[in-house]
Amino acid sequence: MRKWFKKSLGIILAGTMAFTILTGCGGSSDSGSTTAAKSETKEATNGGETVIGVTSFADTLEPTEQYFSWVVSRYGVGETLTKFNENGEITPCLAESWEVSDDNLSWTFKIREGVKFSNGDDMTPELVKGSLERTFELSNRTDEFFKLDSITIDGQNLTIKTKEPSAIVPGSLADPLFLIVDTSENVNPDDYAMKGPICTGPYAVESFSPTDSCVVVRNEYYWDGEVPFDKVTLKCIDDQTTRSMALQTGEISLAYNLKTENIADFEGKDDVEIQNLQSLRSTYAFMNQNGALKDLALRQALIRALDKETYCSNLLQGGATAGKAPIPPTLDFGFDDLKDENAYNPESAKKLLEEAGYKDTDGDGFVETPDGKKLELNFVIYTSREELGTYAQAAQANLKDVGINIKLNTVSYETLLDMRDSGDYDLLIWNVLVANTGDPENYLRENWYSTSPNNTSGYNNAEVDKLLDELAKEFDTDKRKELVIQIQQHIMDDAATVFFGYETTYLFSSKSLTGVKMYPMDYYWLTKDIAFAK
Amino acid sequence: MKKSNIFVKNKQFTIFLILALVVVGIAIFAPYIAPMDPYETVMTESLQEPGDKYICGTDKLGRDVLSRVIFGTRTSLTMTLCLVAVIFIIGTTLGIIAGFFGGMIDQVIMRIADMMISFPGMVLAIAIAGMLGPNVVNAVIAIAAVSWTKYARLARSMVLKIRKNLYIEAAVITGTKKINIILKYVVPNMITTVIVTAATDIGSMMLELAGLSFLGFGATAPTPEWGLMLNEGRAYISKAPWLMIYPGIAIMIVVIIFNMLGDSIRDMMDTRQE
Repeated sequence: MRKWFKKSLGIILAGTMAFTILTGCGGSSDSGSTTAAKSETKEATNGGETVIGVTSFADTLEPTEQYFSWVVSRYGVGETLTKFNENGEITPCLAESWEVSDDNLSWTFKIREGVKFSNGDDMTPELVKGSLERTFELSNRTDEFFKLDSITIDGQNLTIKTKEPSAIVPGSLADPLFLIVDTSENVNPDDYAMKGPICTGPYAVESFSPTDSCVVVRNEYYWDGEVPFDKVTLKCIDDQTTRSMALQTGEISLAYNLKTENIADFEGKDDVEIQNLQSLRSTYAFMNQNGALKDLALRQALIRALDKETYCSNLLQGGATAGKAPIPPTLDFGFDDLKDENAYNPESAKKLLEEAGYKDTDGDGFVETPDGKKLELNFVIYTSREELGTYAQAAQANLKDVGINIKLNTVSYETLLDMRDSGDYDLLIWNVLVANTGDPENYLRENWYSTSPNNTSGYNNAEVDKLLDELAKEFDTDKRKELVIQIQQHIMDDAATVFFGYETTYLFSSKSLTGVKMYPMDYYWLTKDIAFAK
Repeated sequence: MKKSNIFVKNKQFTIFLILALVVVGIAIFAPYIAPMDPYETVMTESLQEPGDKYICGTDKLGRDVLSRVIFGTRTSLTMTLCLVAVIFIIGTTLGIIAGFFGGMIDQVIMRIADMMISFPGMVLAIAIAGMLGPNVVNAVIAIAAVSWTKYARLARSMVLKIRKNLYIEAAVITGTKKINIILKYVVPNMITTVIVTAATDIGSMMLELAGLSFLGFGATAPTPEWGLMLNEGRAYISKAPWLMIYPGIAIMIVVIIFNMLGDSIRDMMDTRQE
């Protein structure tokens, strides 16, 4: 008897829970059209605390490690000499102005006076020099920006001399990698990793826990006006659905990296504002030429089998534009003129495979390599961006049709970085900002220059290397564009990389906030403009 | 005649046995029942609402949800039955050995078992599955590694109890071989209880496997597996709730059937309660 009672009680409880969950998520689905709206200008108030939902990939806050400086910049902690505005133009930040010498080798930056670090130290040109030199010493990514010869100081002026002329120095210095940290004797740089670097941004790190959260507090010494919040918690919610729910319940007031499918979550709710931006981000997959993908025919067949147009318009519901080239059409680098010989064409993919000797000899529906070995390509994707899974699964389905066997390997972003560095993949997804210096040069160089440390796929085309070297020295805008187009065409002809698409980014924010803006260069999340609306 | 009596007497058992057989039947005959190929993607028909063409709608890649749920029965049931068989055999064998021989062997086996239960089961399973890499077999291994202890302890305690009986002593005195004592006197006296435990475990094991797949440590795409389908549908909870509803219902129904079946087997076997 008691057993039956217990059992029915259990069922009733479970039923009640299920019911609450369903009603909780149902909401009113009136025909409220939530389209992109420009941020209204509301009066801001100072003080208070808020929580922002972010995705994070930073194990530490040491800016010279991997891409962790992005996080330092996004959290409103780090600032750079120059910065990008909402239109992607370079504007002054910690440097007031800059000019280049006649031989195009020396760039002189006038360092802003009266700027203090969050510990109260004055930001002197000496410390700026120290910080830049530290970056050049510790990071292996600097060479892909420009090759440094020397940094000299003259009063408030800081002169950067490059070994070869480079047109992208001011833009490069806006990359978070070059954010300015305090290098005086008052601080111990070993603390930067876990306690956060001492920088000049509106907020300073109070505490940091890699996968959980980062708490930042007002920088009392901030140079550019009042800082609105006393304290902001940047909560890592890597799961997209959880992040969306946290915004729905009001647990967070701002959610980054939500996607088209989340728009339905907020239908008919007018307390959340949704902004979108055709981004400068490109999603692509490296093809590792140290393995089975060494064969050009296989790579070509693989790209031709993918119906990227449908992925973007149907599966992602327009959350992205279909890709074919390294640089998205949002930037004017000849997207429409580029010839894509590997456009979607499953028939020709099959034909290519057959001609190259890939045949299904054991009848499992998948082709074997010409020398009779099983062919299984290991496709590595990461979890924090939901659309990557969609691309990868759709690709897996498409490739099955032409007989290429794909194994999906879903890992965390941190693991993915390690796998990329060790070259432990056949295909590896990548999602990156194309014009991180306001220009695609660094992006192209970092990923497709034969000796770049980021190029672990073994792509090597002497012609591309030569053109990239030429591009670095070229100052004329039209000629630069011409070179970039040529480089792209080479990369596409070599079938070096699968370009899936260029995503549209969304920013969902509670209407209790004001000053929330989207930047094409997404280095700036928490800014001094974000405050509670009055 | 006697057989039909069992079924008539235990109506609950009969009902759930039939239902369980239906589920098994669905798994076996999935290709004939499912209206479409569960792997076939029609990307132009992604996220279609349930309707005439797709009774349960389509998922984000335009695959038929109903067919995937039906084929999911196969994956889930095979995984679960394998898992229960593995832990049943390993756990019981080790438990009998530990209980019967005692001494060092007992100490070693039971201390390993203690070690395994000193961790939270699911967390340890996630760790093991994470290390082995996500796939169906590894998920079974991971959960087996944390679940066999229950059977080992149960079997051991029962063997200890049985060993004290006079008929065992008699068998020892008459010089029966140890292996014969175990097989002829020990196992028959304890095996029903262990089988009942295994039967009641099917439901919860199924949930744990689905849970592991949901977390991304079990079945991998594009395998139709309920836990994985729930995870894939999660992002579309407002836009396409049918992606979660149907696999969810499937898990619920099958788990309830097997739990109730296990319960009724226990009621049948356990005469002491009457």
